[in-house]
This record gives sequence, C-alpha cells and structure tokens, in this order.
Amino acid sequence: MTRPHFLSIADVCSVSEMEGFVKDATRVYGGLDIAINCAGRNNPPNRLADIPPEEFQDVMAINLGGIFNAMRAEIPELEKSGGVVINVASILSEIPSGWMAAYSASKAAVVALTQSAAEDYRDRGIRVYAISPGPMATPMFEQALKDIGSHPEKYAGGLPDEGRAMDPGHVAQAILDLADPKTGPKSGTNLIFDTTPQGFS
Amino acid sequence: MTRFSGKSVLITGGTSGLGAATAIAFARAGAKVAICGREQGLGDKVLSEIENLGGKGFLSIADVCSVSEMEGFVKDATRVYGGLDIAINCAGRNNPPNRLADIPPEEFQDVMAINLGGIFNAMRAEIPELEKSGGVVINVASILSEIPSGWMAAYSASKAAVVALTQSAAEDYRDRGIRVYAISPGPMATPMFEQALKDIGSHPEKYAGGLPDEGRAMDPGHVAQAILDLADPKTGPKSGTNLIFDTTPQGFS
Repeated sequence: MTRPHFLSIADVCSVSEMEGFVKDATRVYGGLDIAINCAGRNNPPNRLADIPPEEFQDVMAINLGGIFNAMRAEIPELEKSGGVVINVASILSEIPSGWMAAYSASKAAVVALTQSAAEDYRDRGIRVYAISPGPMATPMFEQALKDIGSHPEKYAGGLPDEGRAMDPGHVAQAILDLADPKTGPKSGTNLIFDTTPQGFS
Repeated sequence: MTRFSGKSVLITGGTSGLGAATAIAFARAGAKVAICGREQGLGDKVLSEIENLGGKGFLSIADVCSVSEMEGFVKDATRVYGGLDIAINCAGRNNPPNRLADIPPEEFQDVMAINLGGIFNAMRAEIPELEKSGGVVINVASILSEIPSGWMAAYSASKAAVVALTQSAAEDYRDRGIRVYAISPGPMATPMFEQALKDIGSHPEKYAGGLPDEGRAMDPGHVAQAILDLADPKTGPKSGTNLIFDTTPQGFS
C-alpha cells in the first residue's frame, strides 16, 4: 500500500523546483484542488538602513518570489479543477511596523499579488485568498523571541502576553474554511485573523 | 529667496517622466539637484533644462538595482552639494499586461529588483545622510498599490511593498528626525504611460483599473508639485503618510 501523503524536498525560491513539486503532486494524486503557499521567513529586528542587503533580498526571494513561483506552477492545474489557492501573509501586511521593514513589505506584496491574481482568474473558476494571522506559537515565533532578546519593544506591534501567541491549529482551521467552497468568501479576500491579547486589530 | 534655496535634493530615475519633472520643479524652487538614471542622453537633456533655469544639476549614470552604485551616487551627491536634505526615489518600471501565471519569472524578478529592491538600496544609502540633516525621503509608489489590479500583479505587488517599506521606515526613524513618505499617483502622461498604451494595443480592458479618457492622464508636473509639498516641512503631513493623488476622470478613487 502506498502512503497517502507525499513529501518533496524543494525550495520555493527555485522556479524549476516549484514546477517539479506541482507536477509530482498532481501526478501522484491525479490532479490538484487546493494549494496553500505557506513557506516564509522573518527577519531579525533592524531599522531599515541596518538591514543587510543580502538579507533583504532573501526575505523577498522566499516570501514574495516563492509565492509567485508556487502560484505560477499551481494555477494551470487549478484551472483544470476549478480549485483554490491560499497565500499566507501576516498581520504586518496591514500595519507595517518598525524593525520589520523587509518582512512587512514582503507580506504587503503577497496580499497585493493575491488580489491581482484574484482579478486575473475571477472568470476562470479559481478562487485566490490571502490570510494574515497574528503571532502564532511556531518555530518562527520562538526565533523572533530569541532575536529580540531583552528588547521586547523590538517585537513589531507589541509582544503578546507570555504563552498567548495564537495556536497555529486554529489558523489552519481558518485556512480549511477558506478552501471549502461552502464557506469561502469572495475571491481576493485577505482574511485578517489575530486573536492575541496585544494584537493589532 | 525661493522655497528650497540651498537645499540638496537627490532623485533616482530623475532622467525621464515624473523624476525629470520633479528635478525641474525642485531646480525652479532654488534647490541643488542630483539625478541618476541609466541613459546619459536623457540625463543631459534634464541637466540643460535645469541650467537654463539658472539652477545647479548633477547627473550620475547609476542603476538602482546595484547596492554599490546607489552608495556611490549618494556619496557623490552629498560631497558635491555638501550634504543631503531631500531624497526622492522615483526609478521604476511597469510590466506588460499578463495574468499572473503568464508573467515570465525573469520579468517578475526584474520588476521587484527595480521597484522594490531599488527603493531599498536607495533608502539604505540615503538614510545615514538624512539623519545628519534632519531630512526627508519620498518614495514613488502608484495608485495600483491601493487597488491591486488584474493584468498587473507584479507591478501592483511591488508598489504595495513600497508603501509598506515606507511606513515601516517611518516608524524606524520617527524619533530620529527623518520624515518618510510615499506618493501614489494615478496614470500620468509620461513615457511609461506611452509604453503601457503600446503594450495594451487594441485591448483597453487590459489597462489596469480602466484607461483614462484620451489625453486625460495626469500632468507629471502637478504630481511633482505635490512631491515638493511633501518635502517642505511647513506643508508635509505626518511621517509615514502615503499621499494618494489621482485626478484622472476614470481614476480609482
């Protein structure tokens, strides 16, 4: 019996690796219905002029270029299935913050890319969404805590009370609701989802 | 005494379109103007217009995609004029109309390298000088930053990113004496608009957001005046403002 799930070691920064991943997944499962573009990185807190240029470029290559590379490969398959694509942005797309210029700009770009693509494919049967979660209890959040060290003011938008970052499982449920045609809102929606006690909303 | 006399102004993409109009407007208002672009011939034309006005101009052939060329341009402009007071980051490109999956990856990367990376490279070099002068930086975005449109995903995303970068930088430097703005103009009568008309050919529906009535694209000189108002501490709004400025009859507002 073949395992029901499928892993590919692939880098979203690579046009050809994204083409290969989509091709493999489509072949193994006989089609593609739902694409979630979640790969991303943050950047250590710095004022804009102190961000190393290579780091700026890497944040953009992963967070923005990666979403483009993935969507570009996914869309032809989703046109066949009448599928849906969901891009993971961030609450910082809506409230660009100090110390996080590269990350904020990359996530604002993801929302715009999503909304442009929603228009491009509105009459072609594909729904395109973004989701902008608040801080979640994930390895990225752990890393951010390490990066800010004893300077909580550098946590863009305010550090949530200890232990009160969002459960990524709850955000995942919202992603399922977006994907489901019975519960998904209008294509192009950016679902802003922040339930942290010191959130931005 | 004119409004910006003695002020040192730097403009990326100052050799054509809105950048050239802004260079001339600042020169007319008494400022010393440094421009950069990629075409010597275009730059020389702007310089001679500035000199005809009795102004002072300086041209550097430099590419905003290059970290070191932006460092060099800012260093040269600062040395020639003894400081930097105002930086206008105007260099940009659009993309021919395509649905997202039809945009060639190299084109997507080039739009981002110029429109977003170029603004980062420029600001990164300008900010240390602006901290000394208590200066101002103005990044040129687009009305499409506010209403991401079909056919223009790369351009729309790059300009939305410019606005976010501007607003993050405004926070970074709010207590350090630098004002940081974006301006989001509607379609202007510039070479970029001419190119867009060629690109859409006989498909006006591909002009993102609706093609303005013939001859009714905005005058880049009017947008340049708004940039002067942002730069002037007497008229500039709160740092971090994105000035949305679209007066076209079929505009987005």
